[in-house]
Amino acid sequence: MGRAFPELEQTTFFLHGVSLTPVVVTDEKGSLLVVDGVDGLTAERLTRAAVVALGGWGMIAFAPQRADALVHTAIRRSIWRALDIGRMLRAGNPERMVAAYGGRTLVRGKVVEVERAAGARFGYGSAVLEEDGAPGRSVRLEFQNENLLLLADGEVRAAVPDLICLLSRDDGRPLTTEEIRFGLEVDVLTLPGAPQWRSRRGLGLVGPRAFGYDVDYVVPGTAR
Amino acid sequence: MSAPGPAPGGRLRVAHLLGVAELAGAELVGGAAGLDREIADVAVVHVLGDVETLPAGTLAVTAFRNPLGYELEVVARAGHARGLAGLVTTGRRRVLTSTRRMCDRLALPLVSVPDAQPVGIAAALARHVHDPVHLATARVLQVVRRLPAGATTAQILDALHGGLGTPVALVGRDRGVLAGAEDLPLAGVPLPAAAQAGPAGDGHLVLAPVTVDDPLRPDLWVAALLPEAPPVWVDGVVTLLRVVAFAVAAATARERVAGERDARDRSTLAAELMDPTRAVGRQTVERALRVGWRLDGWHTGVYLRLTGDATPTPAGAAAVADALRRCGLTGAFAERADGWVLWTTADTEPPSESFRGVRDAVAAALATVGDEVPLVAGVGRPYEGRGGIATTLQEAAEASLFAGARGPVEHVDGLGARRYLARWHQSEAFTSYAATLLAPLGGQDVLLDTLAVYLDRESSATATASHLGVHRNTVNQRIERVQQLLHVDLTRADDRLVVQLACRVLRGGH
Repeated sequence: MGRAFPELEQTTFFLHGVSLTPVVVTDEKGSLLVVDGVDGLTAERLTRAAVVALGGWGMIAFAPQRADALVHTAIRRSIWRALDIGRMLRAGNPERMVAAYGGRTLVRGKVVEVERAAGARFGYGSAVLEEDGAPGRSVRLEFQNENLLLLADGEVRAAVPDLICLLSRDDGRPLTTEEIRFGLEVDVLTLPGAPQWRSRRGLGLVGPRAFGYDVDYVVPGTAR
Repeated sequence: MSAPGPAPGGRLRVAHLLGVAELAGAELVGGAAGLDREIADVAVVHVLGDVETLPAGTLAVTAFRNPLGYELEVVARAGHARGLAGLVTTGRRRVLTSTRRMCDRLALPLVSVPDAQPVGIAAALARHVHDPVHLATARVLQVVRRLPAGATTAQILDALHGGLGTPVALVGRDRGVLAGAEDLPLAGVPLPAAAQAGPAGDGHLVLAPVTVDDPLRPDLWVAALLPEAPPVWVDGVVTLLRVVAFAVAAATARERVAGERDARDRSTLAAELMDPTRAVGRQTVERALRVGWRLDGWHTGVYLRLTGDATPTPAGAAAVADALRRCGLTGAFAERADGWVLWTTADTEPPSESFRGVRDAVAAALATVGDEVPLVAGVGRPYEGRGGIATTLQEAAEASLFAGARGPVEHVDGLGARRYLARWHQSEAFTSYAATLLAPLGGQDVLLDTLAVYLDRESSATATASHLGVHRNTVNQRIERVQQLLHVDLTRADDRLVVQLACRVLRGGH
């Protein structure tokens, strides 16, 4: 994935036509399930149901692949990059991290309004952030399990599959969507998603419309 | 681009939407600065891309499947760029601050209608934009159809209020609200002789006169307060109120007929109660209860007698009843051939000095109606029970015969010996005798007046002459002529007494 996505088929393996199944699900008590003989979407649903039944927590393994195939199907160095970003943030140096990974700081501001609602599959919500030093100027963040869309004056400023990250102003810690609440002071950053996701097929799988947002994926300053 | 519209200012503006019945419950979420934008067309936006095809001046009604809220901001941005007139959103989803601020900043009105179907709303609004005359006509007809046959004023106002969805009222000449909404801004508003609309705050106050008697001087107006609305609709409401005014006039006339019948019933009932020779039967008691008259308790009668040639009229009755009520005299009120009777009822015997209070109250009431209804009055003593009504009214009637000379109101206690004369006045036999006796004067008022004054002035020609403002010899000549015509000799005590009593009876005790 190169980032977090909510569904199993939102992987580059699936993007490149590698079968997800058989998927193996296990938990800390030794339960073991094998999901096989179904397509990717069904595998995702069955696996999710199994994890819920196991107590909401589980580990899964996808179908084995040949190591040389991973050169094409995987996002390389993604785990190393996650660790590296974590180290830089812990060192209290988000600016260096943003520069190193080609990101941008979108907004520094305060959460002034949060609205959440239950959806068919995932909860979703919106938050309004007021920009520092510009009272009355606000941006709107749309999130589900992850932050997915940032709008300013109705214009897309950042969109999935790019990462939209909220860093707490207090301790520099990244905030999950469950933690967003009124009054939080945050820096909003965006980091580019993996190039594979920005392809036409990639956007079909994880672009804004895949999450129900009827807008195009654009990076401000670039042509559509 | 936008189609050519009617006269400037004639087209529907976004501000008008807030007063449209189809958008009941609508709230302006943001973009108030753009309320003056004119609406050229109405369109439904199903997906965000639809906005890109809309011409300037369009009012966009959003109809997204499973809206998440952010769409409004995207639509607002695109809509602003395209020059849309405004946005309408439906559903109960809360509109966030960012959307509100954005619409404010772009001066793009955003109207939220929580409980509405977007397509239905768009169709209704489109009629407002494209076919306002037809719509206004349809609305007028709709209200007219709602008027039931023989509707009361209250039902008419209900139908009007239901059709317009705005405050309506029936207003009197003093701008007092007789029925309907109490809080119309009527102060200082001229009451027109023809239906018309005038400004009232941001909206319009429409007034239509109700013509029952005098078309040049109406006494009632139908009033409706409209929110800001396009001229076509205001004109439609003016027409509607004219039609409704006819219905109100019919209802008023009907109520008046019923009132007159009611007044007749009351006078019959009062006559029965006042007849001392009749026992009050069960039927009479029931009828009295039905009109709300109390028969038990202590009754104090007031007899109001019209002076001159005046006869009781419904308008006069209303004025008198109202004046009495304002002066604190409430009770049974009924019409008589020569005026009205009223009696008040108390649970316990009123103290003897209370008559003065009653007399003063009646005098005050008479003073207020003095110009319209010339009256004198008599007040009787309090008597208990059903029979007491007849007694006290009898006394009041007697006292009223003497009222006028010393003051407009006489209390029976103030009459003294004159009371016994009253018995004569009331005796049918003597009345007809008096008429026969004085008949030879043949209605020559000059002679009758001179005779009456002469006898009241102790047969003094000098005093009579000065009272009538004529020469003493004239008086003597007239008296001589009277004696000839009547074949009486006024120097004889018996003749004098009989003629004087006859004069009194014929001249009503003055």
